Amino acid sequence: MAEKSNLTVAERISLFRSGRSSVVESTRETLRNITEKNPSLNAFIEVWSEEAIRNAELLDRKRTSGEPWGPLFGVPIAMKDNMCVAGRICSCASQMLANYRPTYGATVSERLVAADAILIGRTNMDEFAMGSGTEYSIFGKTRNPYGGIEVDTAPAGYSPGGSSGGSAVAVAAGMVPLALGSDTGGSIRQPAAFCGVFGLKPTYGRVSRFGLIAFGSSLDQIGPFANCPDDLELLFQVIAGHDRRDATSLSNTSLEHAKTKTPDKPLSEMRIGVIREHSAQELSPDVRTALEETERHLKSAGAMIVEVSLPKQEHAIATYYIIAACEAASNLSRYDGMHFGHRAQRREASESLESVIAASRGEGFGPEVKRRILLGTYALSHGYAEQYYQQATRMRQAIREDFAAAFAGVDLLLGPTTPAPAFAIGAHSQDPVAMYLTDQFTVSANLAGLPAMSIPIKLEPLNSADSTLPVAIQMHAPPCGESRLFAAARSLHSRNQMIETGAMT
Amino acid sequence: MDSHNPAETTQDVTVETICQLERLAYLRLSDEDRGSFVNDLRKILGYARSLASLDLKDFAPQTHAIDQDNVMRGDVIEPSSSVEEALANAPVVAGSFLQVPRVLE
Repeated sequence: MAEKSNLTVAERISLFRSGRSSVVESTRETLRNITEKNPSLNAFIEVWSEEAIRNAELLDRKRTSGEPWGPLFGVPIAMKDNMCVAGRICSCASQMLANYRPTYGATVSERLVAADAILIGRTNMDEFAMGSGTEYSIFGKTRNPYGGIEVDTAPAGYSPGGSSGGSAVAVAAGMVPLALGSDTGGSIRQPAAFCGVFGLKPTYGRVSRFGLIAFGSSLDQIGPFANCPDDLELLFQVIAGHDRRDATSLSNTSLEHAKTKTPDKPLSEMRIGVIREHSAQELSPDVRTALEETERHLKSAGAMIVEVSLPKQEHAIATYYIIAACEAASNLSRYDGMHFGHRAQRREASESLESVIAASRGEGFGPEVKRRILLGTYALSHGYAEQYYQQATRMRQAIREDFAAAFAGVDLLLGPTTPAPAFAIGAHSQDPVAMYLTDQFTVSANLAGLPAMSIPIKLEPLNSADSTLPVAIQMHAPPCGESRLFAAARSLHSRNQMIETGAMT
Repeated sequence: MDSHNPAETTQDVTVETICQLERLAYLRLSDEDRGSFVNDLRKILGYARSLASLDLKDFAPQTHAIDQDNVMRGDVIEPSSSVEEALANAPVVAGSFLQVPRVLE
């Protein structure tokens, strides 16, 4: 039997249907695979082995009972550690929530269970999803399965990106076929690009945020990681949909036109805009070549390629980091060490409430979270709010209008996901602005609420070692235009497979 | 994005600024942290300052990603967390209450 980690979701389920594998067997193999690979990669913070096997046993009983199967029957799924699963610790990789055990499940968790998926464990991330390298975690750094260790340039290996680095690595290393991440400024797409997997940030409001621990509420969105577009779409369809428990969840009427899996037009009739401001940036030669190859392929598939301009892109990073920090400072004010989370020991019996709260937060939060709370507090404070926060919210509107104008003439936008492939672990840890700039192509989709996908294009050999790094591109669609992204991704995926198998060079 | 120059910082931020932000955000920092956050905030705000000088009067402030209508629901009582569940993660509990340090002097 082929190694299950390389099977698509449909292939896995067909093994269960034909009786060639039981769900318990398959789950045990997944757990063995994780046990073998996780020590060197640190993708998982916790694996829920016992419950996974128990649930697999229940599903095996269902196989023989004739009950209908859910669309993710017996499929193991990794959860980023910022989505609540009832009764399981959900830490956001933070000391603040190291022992926090939610009493309710996120809507996405409930939808996955209802679809007969097996929740296999929680994955590492940057603390409270703030970071671009999965290095600000109390559970240590996660390593990219690609790139290997290079003594001079990458002594600790390559970064998986972040903040959803654990989920991206779990899928890239074949530990699980599917994982969920969250994307506030690129936290699904950037790690997907660095790890060579597909990653989708859906339209804001398509996937419920209920039970997702908030970072920047007007930007956060949950989305899937997978090794192929079919699996990605399957998981997306399961988690998407209106949820009355999330007031920003899109209503069913606004989703009416987006429910069908078929895009409103075939790829051959699409106009695809290449974002001039992104192409004009300093890109690594690998990323530039990947973009050119993608353009050529889309043209050969019949799509029309045109250049479009998003004039305000140069302000996207500043706008994003101000808004995200302001929303984070506000959201994270709930952690007071009184209702839940870490509480500092009182230094003396008479220490005041305020003092204990400040000490609890000082002990519970790590450096990047503190940096953003300070930045957000500054940008919202009297005398500076007009200059920073107000201006950022105006620029946000300008950026939205740029996209609306572009989508009046094209069906999809094409550009890079990141300026370069994965960086060495620790490369940006001394300069926050340099780290923030790795998100320069991803933050706009969050500001404008648009769906965007990172699509792996190729593996580029590294100079000094016998190893490779993945190279990806990014596509944006108008609101609720996910089906167009899947159509383009499928076409590019077939191309990549033909190149891999030698059918095309 | 090309305009990023690591040397471009703002001198508005001092250790006193950080101390004031600590009070506003209820966040206690070590002396060492304060020093490094002064530098970080100078860099970040130096980078973000480009926004402040732009004329954006024509653009209405936007706090949402997607245009949405207000959401209403019927005024109907529904089950919610029990007291036990609500207190399950509290660091210190006394009976069915959260126990906190003295609030009034």
